[in-house]
Amino acid sequence: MSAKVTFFPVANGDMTLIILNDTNETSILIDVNIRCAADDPEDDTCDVANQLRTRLKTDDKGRPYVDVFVLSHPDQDHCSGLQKHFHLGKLDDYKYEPPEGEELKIVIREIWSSPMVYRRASTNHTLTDDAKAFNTEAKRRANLYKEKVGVGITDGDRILIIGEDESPDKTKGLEGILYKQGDTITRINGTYNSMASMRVLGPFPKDADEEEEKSLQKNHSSVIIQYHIASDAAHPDACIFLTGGDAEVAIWKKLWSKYKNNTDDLKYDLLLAPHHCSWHALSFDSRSKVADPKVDADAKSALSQANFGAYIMSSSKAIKDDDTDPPCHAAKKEYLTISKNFKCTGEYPNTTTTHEPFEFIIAADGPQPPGNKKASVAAAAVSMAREPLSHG
Amino acid sequence: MGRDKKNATLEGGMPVPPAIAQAVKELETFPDIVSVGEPDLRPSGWWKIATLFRVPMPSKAEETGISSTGVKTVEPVYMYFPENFPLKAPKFFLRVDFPRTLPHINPGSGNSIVSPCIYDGSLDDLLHQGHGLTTIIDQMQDWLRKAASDSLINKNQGWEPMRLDTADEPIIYQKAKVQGFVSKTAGFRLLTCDVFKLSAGDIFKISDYTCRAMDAGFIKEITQKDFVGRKGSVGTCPVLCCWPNESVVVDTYFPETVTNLGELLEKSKLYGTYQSFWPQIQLLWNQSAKVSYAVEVVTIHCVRRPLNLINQNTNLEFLSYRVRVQYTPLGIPDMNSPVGILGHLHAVGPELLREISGASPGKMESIIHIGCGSLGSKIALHLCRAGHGPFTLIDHRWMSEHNLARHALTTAAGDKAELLKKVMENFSVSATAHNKSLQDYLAKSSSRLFEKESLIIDSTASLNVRETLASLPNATNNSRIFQTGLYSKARLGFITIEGRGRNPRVDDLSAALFDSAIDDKPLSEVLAVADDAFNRQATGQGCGSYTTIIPDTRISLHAAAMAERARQVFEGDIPEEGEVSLGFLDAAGMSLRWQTSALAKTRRVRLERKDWELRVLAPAFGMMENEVARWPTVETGGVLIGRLCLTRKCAIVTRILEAPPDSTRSRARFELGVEGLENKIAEIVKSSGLTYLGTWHSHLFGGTPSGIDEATLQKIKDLRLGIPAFNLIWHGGELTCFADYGDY
Repeated sequence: MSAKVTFFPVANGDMTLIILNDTNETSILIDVNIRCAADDPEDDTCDVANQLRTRLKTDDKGRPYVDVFVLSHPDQDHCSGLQKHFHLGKLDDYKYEPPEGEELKIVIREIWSSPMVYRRASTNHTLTDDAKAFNTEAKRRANLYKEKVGVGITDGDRILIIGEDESPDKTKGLEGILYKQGDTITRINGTYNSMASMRVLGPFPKDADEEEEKSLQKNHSSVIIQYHIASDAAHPDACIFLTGGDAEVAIWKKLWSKYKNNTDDLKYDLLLAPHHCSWHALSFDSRSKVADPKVDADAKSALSQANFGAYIMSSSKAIKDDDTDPPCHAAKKEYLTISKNFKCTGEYPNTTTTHEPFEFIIAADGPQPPGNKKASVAAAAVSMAREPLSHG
Repeated sequence: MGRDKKNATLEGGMPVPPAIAQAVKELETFPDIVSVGEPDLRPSGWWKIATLFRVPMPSKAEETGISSTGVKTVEPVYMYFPENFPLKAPKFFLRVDFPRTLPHINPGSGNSIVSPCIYDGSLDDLLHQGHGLTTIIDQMQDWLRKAASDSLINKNQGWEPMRLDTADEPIIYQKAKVQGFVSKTAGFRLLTCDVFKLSAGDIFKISDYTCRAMDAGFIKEITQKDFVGRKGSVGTCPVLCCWPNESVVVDTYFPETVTNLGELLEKSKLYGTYQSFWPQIQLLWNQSAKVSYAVEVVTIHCVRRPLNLINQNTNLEFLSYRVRVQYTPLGIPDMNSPVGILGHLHAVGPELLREISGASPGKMESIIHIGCGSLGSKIALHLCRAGHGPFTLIDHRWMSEHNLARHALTTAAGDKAELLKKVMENFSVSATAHNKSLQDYLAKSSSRLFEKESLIIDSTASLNVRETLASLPNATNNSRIFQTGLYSKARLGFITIEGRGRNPRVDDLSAALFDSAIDDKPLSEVLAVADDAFNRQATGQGCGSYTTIIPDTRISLHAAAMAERARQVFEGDIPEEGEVSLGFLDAAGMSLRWQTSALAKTRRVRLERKDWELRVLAPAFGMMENEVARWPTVETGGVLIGRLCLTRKCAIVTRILEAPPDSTRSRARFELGVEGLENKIAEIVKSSGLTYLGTWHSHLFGGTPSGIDEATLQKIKDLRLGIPAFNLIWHGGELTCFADYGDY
């Protein structure tokens, strides 16, 4: 199978699956946003849980699994449905016979977690149960790693720490699995994988300057990773995918100042537009409060290192020409100046029918989007049944 | 693209069929079909519609508008609609210069429009599934998209074998045999094949896989003219099989296009077969030229792929050619000598049959099939079709005309075993026929059936055969006797499989089957009508010329299920314990419901008389054990029920009956009462055919018969009228027997 990057239609939220072209078809899931509506068969919201499950493999015990789950940051629209659909805790406690109406939970073989991002998020707002459950699970795995001194850690217990924590003692004993800003991850779920390498760009470490640190907190500090995805052994950089959760303008500005002399680290063939195509990823000015809001040139530069033909993806609702934000129409216009290939999960295959996952095939010459679909007969039947039709 | 109705009729031409006009409208609704041309009636009678498809490009290919695989942003797709569309689906073609190096392209010569293989099945069927034309267009779009990103092959499925674009002549051989020649170091093998001339071309078939030397005899054989060979072949052709060193792996995909010797030599360098091929074929030409003319040579080249081929368990691909050498005026082989590509057709044989059946290789060495009647012939052929064997077929009967009503064979006259063997030869499955009874077959040696580790299938429905099998010595290997049969117009079918070491044995299992009828009224009813003479039909004049009336369909239902279990056993699912399976035909007569139960080892009780055998089935032993546990402080006992075989002098205890209520139990004495016993026994005899075999009781101290026991035995003797009776004593889980053998 070819490598694939799939963006699930989860309205204003993120849920992205990378499948690599290795024999194991290694899977990396970045964020989840499985809302109740998506789980309700009566609701026409895309059943993303099912769409995800059909793309996952099952292990020799029949359990569906992802090799890696990365949480960009613990906001609700990035971790909804985590407890409901994923197994958290020791694998020994896995329930092979789920209660009536529930499915087997998905095993997370390795977690990529950022305590720094979590810390910043929790100082700013109350976290959901899913976010807290994620943190508990990450802590369990980190503690197990410390306890076993990294020896004999197996599937379901693995973890990587992304970004330095506020002080080195917090990550003491975890040095072997700590990836700081600028580091490259080459091991996936414990083994070297030639089909992908990951450059860690964020989060920034704790800033000594209190104001700066506050700004990082306010700007939705997130895990930012540049994924180098191979189409085959001969093309290790077939698709460079840059994704950074909800990170906003101050963070991108800071990244530009750090990387402007080394722009390769910001290059991409595929970009997930930060914060669901929010204006605040590009500008410090509020569109409702400032008469002529300006785009921050540095932040935009950080997001403009597109290779020719690159795709920019907005994981959001359909983008309308109104004051909504996110997704913001003005932000979309800015991205279109970077690349004409701008796509939105809320508009695929069109804005009216039930949305479908937007799946890129990773070819030797870059990510290939799906074609334009004709509305299917089934979709037409559903949309006709959506409202009463009067007859004279 | 606007078009109104009047345009649906071509000027001065045939009117466009409405369904095709409708298809044009439908095509125009696809966002990625950017242009739809007018339908054009071709001389072939098909309507051609030229369209342009927009293909989503990988991001970096957008700049040039062409993917690294050679697919363009906009690709012409020529659709050919049959006049009877939508009964039949359209065909799709791409530009002549569309890259043929991509997989999933249908065979076609280099200068014709390219035909993509867009669906793994019939497009005619796909048209009637899903959403009609839309579904097919979606397939076409998806194919182009995958062609642009080089994702047409799912490498996890395996390597797609090379397309043989121009092959119209086949070579038939068993791939497994040729594959067997291939070693780690480069080499070659010389064989012969038969040549058949047909109006459409030649067919080559390898029947003999014996390795040949390039000696005088060989040269003579391949150079003789006006040859008429086996099964109508017109000649013998040498076959040169070549394979490369293990290190040579060809991991590029390309279509087969060889047309002459020069091109073949280039290809053989790529395959790693040149070093074996070129010297050998020249030698062959030289040798044969001395005798007559330069012969035609068939050559098979083995190509090693990086992955296993799709749906095959090997990474070896075989490519075949026929080479007709011509010489230049200087007397050297002309590089323009014509070479034809031969498409490979599998010759039938056990490996192919297994592959197609999804069967695993057998874990046993052979199948001995006793009884080649209607049921047996069907079971045997099912196993043969799964590639299993070799077979030993034993049946002394003739194939009569009336047998054709239900037999797997389709010709009468001849020995059944012999005729079945000939059919198996058509499958290249080896079989030996013994046109004799089992008893005659065993005359040579009573342990003959167990010489190899075999699955021994008895489908004779003969008690005589069953008893013969029961009387045979124990197998020293893991052979299993697998007995099958039908009862009551095939309302019931049964399978019994012996346990390891022939324990439980075929007669134990048969007794257990009848025992289960005691508590199972429907089963008892089915068994009770088994011998009903009204179910028989005379097949000729004279006593004994009758057969049971059963439709062929019902026998096939049972035979398929029985053969399936036999296949599983042969492939290694060999039960340790015995197994009894009963298949009941449902009321609609369309399906069988199978119940399977295991039977643990039978205990054999030592008897004074060595010519007699007393066997206690595991359930009967268990019942005694429970009864003794219920009465730990006093003696207890009951009645033995089972089968008595007077001819073979064997008694099999299948169960015990609890002591009647008027029985008395004390520390030193057990007295068997009689209340209700007679009725109970009569019921058992009626429902199962099993009978009263004697009594049993427990001793608290010591296992030898007491004075009371001796007196009771005398009493039984008088009652049993010369029929043997067995009296078991249970002591601490051990059984001893004192028996009266009556008149036997």
